[in-house]
Amino acid sequence: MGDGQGVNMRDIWGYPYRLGIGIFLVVSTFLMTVLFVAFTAWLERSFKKERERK
Amino acid sequence: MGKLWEQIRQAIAGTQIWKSVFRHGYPDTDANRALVMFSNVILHLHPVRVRRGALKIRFTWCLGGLTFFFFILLAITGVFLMFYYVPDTRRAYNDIKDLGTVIYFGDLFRNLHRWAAHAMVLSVWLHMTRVFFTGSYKPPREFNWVVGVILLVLTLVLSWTGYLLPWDQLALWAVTVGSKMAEATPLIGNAGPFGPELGFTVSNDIAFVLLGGTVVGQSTLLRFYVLHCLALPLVAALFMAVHFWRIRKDGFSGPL
Amino acid sequence: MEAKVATQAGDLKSRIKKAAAENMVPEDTVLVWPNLVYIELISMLFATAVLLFLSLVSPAPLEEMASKDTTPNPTKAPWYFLGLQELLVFFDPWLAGVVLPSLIIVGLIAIPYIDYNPRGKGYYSFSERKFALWGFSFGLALWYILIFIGVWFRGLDWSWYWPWDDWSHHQPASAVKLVDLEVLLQGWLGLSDAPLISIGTYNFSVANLITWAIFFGYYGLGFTIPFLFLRDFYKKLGFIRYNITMFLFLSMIGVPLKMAVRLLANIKYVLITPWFKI
Repeated sequence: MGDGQGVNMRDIWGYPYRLGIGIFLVVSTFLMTVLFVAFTAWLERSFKKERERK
Repeated sequence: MGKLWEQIRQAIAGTQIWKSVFRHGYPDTDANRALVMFSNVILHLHPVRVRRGALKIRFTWCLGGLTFFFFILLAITGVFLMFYYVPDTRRAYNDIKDLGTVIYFGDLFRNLHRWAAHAMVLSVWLHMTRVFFTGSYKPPREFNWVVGVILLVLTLVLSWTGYLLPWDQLALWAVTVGSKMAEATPLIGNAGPFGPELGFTVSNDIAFVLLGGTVVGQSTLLRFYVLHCLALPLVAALFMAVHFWRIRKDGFSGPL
Repeated sequence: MEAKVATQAGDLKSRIKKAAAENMVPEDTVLVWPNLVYIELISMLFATAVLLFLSLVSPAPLEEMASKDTTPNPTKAPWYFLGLQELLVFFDPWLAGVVLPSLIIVGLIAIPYIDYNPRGKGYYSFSERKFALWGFSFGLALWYILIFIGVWFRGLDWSWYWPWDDWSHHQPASAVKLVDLEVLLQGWLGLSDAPLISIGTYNFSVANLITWAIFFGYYGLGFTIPFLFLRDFYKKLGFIRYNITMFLFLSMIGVPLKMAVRLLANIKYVLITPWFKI
């Protein structure tokens, strides 16, 4: 079997250190994306409210 | 007291010298406010009237204007720094030290230059973000967006070339990181895919062109100095001229 | 001179009124002096004040003189390039330093030409341009997060340091053994090393060919799925714009995807070719 370097499925989850990094990366990117979108949505609403008030 | 001041003002403003310089009165009448936009070279960037909605700070956050302002500030502080700095690896570092110690206001100007540089990079990113979120790149303004992206790249390269000039450890190795990446360019870098196959070695690939040699040394310092102080600001000014011209011609996008 | 301008200004006012009545120019305009100029002045003063404050409070750094003999650990690029330097962990230098930044720049330039949506021009809008906003925000967020990580989470030897770790000590050498996707596949599927195809001196094993298929399949699926299920989207864009948009979008999503694959599944290279590795 190839180069004799057995691959163990267990290894994927055997390193919580890197799991933490991976989760941090995914979650923080998602949160920041939501932040940008929410900011734009808020500005949209605030301009619209102002137009309706006029 | 006010009347005396008024009289002095009018006396001065009536002289030939004054009128030869300022061909408009103080803009406190509508006529003068219109005239000043035509006659004053700094103000002629602006139209005479602007839509009320375009003034909203919540719309633009003044980001584009601030980026331009930071550029001017960098140019002014940069000229000051240029009086005291020589791009020679044997004395560059000591020149910077002199700026921080013996030269009057040297550290103030250096700090202003560095903070304005960071501020300009940040504000140009934020400006691009704002333009995207307000859809101000949509037709007919597509080309202005492209010019803006070019200006973004120019800003980053300007900042990066300036980074090398103090010739300290931070500078040298930060630029080395960048040049190692340049070596890895596909096709024209000696360490990139297909590069060696096409005959590129350390002495004739794109990194060599960038560094003026095989390592970050004297040629690199001189090259970066010329790029940072002369070539890139000129190119940036050219693109800024196009950028502002386009805004005046296409009109400022903004809420009515 | 002033009288002439006064009549011109008066003319201007009546001309604007007339044009507004014909819907050619919005009536609600104000003079730039003083309204806009005043805002510009205040913002310039404010910016100068902030910069002066920062200059006095936080001086520019100056480390030791440049020396070829000692390499600082870690060597960090300026903060706006730290995102790219962080990518170097997950991608080879030609990808992280050249191809991806070029794609970013090309992608940015392409935005106005692939955005067919006429709505949202000149005002903040999320509800009318959801795809554009999500896509752009995601790319932006990824860029900033990578910078963030490069500044605050990378220390000696470019190892990962949480804020509560001891930054002055080297992190223990990672016990993680990275493996390539094709080796993983070989293990799972029990394939042999022997090359299936040989072109000149280049040999391609079965597992290697499968990785080629996965790589192109990612893009292939990405191109065909919206084509099949979101036909409107495809029609509005047209063939060329659709392909450019999907290529850029898939590449952008591919970056965090490969990062996650490396972090969570310890896979180093997804595709190995005789000339480059992805």
